[in-house]
Amino acid sequence: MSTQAKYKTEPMKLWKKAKEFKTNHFKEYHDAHKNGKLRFLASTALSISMHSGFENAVIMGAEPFAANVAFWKDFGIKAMEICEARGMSRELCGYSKCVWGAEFMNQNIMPAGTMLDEWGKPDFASAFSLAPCHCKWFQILCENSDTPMYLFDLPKAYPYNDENLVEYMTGQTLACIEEAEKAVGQPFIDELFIEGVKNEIKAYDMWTEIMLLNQAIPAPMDEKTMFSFIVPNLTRPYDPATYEFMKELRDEVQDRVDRGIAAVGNEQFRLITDAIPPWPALEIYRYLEREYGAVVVGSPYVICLCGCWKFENDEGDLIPTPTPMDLGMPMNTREETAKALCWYRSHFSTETPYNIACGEVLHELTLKIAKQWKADGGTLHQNQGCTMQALGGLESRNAVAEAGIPCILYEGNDADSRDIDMTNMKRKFDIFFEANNVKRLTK
Amino acid sequence: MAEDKKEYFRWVESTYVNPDIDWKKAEIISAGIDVGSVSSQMCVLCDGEIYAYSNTRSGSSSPNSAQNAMDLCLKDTDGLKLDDIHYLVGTGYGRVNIPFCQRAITEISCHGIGANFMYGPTVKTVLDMGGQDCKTLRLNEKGKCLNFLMNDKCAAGTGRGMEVIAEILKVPVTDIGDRSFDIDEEPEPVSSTCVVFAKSEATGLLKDGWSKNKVLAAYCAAMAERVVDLLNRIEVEKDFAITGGIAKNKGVVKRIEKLIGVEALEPKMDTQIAGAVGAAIYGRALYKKQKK
Amino acid sequence: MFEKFGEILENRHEYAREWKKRTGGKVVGFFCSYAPEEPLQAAGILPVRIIGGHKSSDKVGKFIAPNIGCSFCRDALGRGLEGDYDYLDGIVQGQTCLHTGEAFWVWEKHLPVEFSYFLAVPHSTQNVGREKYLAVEYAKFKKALEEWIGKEITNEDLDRGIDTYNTNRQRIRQIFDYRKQDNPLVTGTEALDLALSGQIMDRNEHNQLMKEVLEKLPDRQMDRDPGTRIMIIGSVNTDREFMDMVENQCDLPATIVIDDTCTGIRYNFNDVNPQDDRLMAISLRYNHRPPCPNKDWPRRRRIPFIKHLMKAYNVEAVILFNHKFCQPHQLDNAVIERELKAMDIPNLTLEFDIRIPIGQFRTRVEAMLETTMDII
Repeated sequence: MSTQAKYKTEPMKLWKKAKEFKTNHFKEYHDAHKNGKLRFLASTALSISMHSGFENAVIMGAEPFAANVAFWKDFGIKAMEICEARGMSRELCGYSKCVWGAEFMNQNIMPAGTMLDEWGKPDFASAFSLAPCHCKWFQILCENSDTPMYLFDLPKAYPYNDENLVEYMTGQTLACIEEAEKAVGQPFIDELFIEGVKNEIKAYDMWTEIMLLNQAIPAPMDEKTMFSFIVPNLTRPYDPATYEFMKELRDEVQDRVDRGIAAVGNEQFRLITDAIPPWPALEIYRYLEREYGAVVVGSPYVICLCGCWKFENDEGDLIPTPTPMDLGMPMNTREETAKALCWYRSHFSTETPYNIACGEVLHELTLKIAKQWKADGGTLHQNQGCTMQALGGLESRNAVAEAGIPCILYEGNDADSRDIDMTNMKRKFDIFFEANNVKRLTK
Repeated sequence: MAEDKKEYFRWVESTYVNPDIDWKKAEIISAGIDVGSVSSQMCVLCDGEIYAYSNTRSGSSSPNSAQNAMDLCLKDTDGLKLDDIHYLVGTGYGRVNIPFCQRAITEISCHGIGANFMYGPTVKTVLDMGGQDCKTLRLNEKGKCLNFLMNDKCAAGTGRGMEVIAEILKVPVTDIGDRSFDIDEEPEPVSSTCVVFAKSEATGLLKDGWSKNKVLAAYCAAMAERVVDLLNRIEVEKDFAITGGIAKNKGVVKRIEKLIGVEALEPKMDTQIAGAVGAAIYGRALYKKQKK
Repeated sequence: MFEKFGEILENRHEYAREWKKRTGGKVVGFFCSYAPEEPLQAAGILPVRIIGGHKSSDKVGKFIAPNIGCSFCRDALGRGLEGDYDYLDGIVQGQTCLHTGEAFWVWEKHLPVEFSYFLAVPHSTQNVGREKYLAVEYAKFKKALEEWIGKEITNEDLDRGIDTYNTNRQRIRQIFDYRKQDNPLVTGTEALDLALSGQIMDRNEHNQLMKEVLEKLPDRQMDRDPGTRIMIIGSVNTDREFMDMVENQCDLPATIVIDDTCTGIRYNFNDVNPQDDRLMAISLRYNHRPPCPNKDWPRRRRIPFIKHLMKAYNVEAVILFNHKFCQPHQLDNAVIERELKAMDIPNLTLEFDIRIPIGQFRTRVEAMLETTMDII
């Protein structure tokens, strides 16, 4: 434990375990066929646990897959270039180009940076219509690799508790299960599915507890660290080990809050952001912490990504959505479980806030988070690699700034490092902090 | 003082007349004028062979630029005049404003035919790096354009971009290519190729201790990268040739070749006249068609 | 013969204001062709498509970043922020892409109107349950409309709305049929004026104008070389300047004989088949119409549709366009380009913005036309 001028700080005990979790999962996915298992590639919006009824499935979240490609800059650029050579516009979704790129090159990269000589063709793929291109992403991916797929339609998930929506989503979930059974030629075991969904709900609910703890001053976690902890929920939410991990994490974070352990010892300015970070340039977080004691305490992205939330009474603060189990929703059959899952996940979770056509509530959500997580300022990522997230960015910035919380937008890209200009990004932050009288901590 | 007044962007205008051809004996005299935004050329063919050409800097007026190119081209010919030319085709950005041409054909088609003439029927892929735009073409064995891509929203990767660098670094534009290889180690391409920001980026690099040559190398590398995007999209098939002014810049050409893994054909004539040559060839064909 | 359509289009705001004064009715703006127009018509409301004016507005940049938002939506929103649409009583959006959605929400927040409704149109046109889902959403929309206008929308009203729109689309298709001829009797520019004017005027009045055209059209004499037969493929095409350049200003003759755009045939291709459950009938029509690329998955329905049109209209070359930052069309265009290449059809891809560089586009179009000629 080291002492800083302002707060005590210590590394997260579970960080190493989180890293191992990720590495092991990527390896398991890559080696699935060798080990007689199936590979499922699923967009992390709603459909991971949908496949948990397949006993032999290793399910990879498409977004963690893509983010990993983006993180490894050189490989990421190759992925971009091969897509562009095939006529894909540079403006297209960065994540889709990461995965297509891996597919076109038939290569992949592990979290530790080891190159793989095949990209990991799935046996089945599924995606949700989060953004204009999510389902098109998978359509192209599966056309090129001849992969059977099921693409879900998620029309509009707000206001909550829309019966028509839940019925529609449930029907699609059941249809997906049947399609997947036919495609992979293996039975879908309802008991595994029910258990998997319950585990997911519990793990997601636990994440909301953890996120709420980060409202504490000093913040026990910084957002960059949180990115390591979201992986289990995004890749194996159905696994009981994930829920156990989340409980451990909650306990550790609670302990840090109780003892006043900070993520950033010199925390003097709390920031929120909004969207997927610039994965090729995560060092910007450490720049903010080191130079200005500025800690990113949360964002609609990391808070909602693997937790389910709602506005209390549709007007008030952001609170965790009660779970189906809390509400006594039956989950004894495939149909009941599918319905409960769709109901639960149709609240603000993963990218549903963005799917809600950005402008309806995203700015309000961002402002609520800024207030509830006690932010002193906002630095929102105008993410060129993701229209879905960036489109509402200005309105979010306006809402936060008009509420008296200084807020800027900075340009970047979640996947394409060629769009990232670190010099100018740092300069923008320097100006922001100077304008807000935040003392620079280094000479 | 003298150095301050020197125009580093300025390249030498040129003219050529073939001493072995007597235009008065030619059956068909056709010509092409290529009026670009930075340079203009005229080429005269006598029965399909190059008799004369010129390469001048364009002004703000397309008709004047065309006239200047023509005046320079015909200056040292043995009395050849506009009236002696059977068919004149205009091409380039200013083609719609050449009052004395009989037909306008796009520079894309003309560069294809021109490259076929200059490099031979084996050329399948052409990169034209002009004054303010870049284009890639796929050709058949007759030089007909089968597919093309253009990038003209950004000056990086064009002659104008290179001229700006020349001025900023006070290096004659014709020296840039060779000097970009006079370095110890190949640098990373500059991250921002925006010509508007070039000065601040170059200043920053020089302040960091970079030599002028190294900065030039970084810009040439960045330009090559910008252009390779277009080439990858068109899918390079050999033989590969480069036309336009930047074909004379070895610094960019060699770096492109390295990135795409294909060598460009060695030019045997001024690469800037490809459009005018192609236009003149079209002129000859159109004249013959007209006569039928 | 088609000048009237162009005039109304040019003066669309004056038309709408005059319609309001004349009828006492309400006007509702919509952004996308998946908006629920039949119920609006049934309610006695004039639905008008909100389109841009090919003019930048510096007011948009506060709400939608120019390096993120689709150029069409920024232009359309800009017109709203500049006050061009101050006569609107309401706005409606049928969920399609995020850009039109964002434009809707920004409009609702900053240009308040009496009535606003975001209809959750399914993204899928193939998934189980979509038709019923949409029919239920229509029922909710109808209820909201009734509350606003203060009266019930009956089945008879819906029948009238359906009939008006069916007639409108049928007549557009009939007129478009004359473009199949060797010397098309309607140019692409005229067809754009025709189809787009329908989206901004009372469909009954539009139907009447089309009836008059259909009476005269068979005897029309065209005094132009049709040249290369071009199909234009893309999203919202409101660019008359571009169409006119292609057809009237290039050095080589050309005619745009058909399109796959949502201001043309894609929007007008199919009708509502009447049934007892009127809202289900409308839902079926919107689910089964040629899809926007945003809704064209998992199986591609758009490409067979495009190939069908190419055959029917004897298309010789294709211009593909997308608005800047429009991802659905960028994605589809890459695939369509490959299909066209495999079919040996000359094609050109262009990126439209609020203002287009007409000179540069002319060079590209002419270069494409030149690839179809054999002089040498």
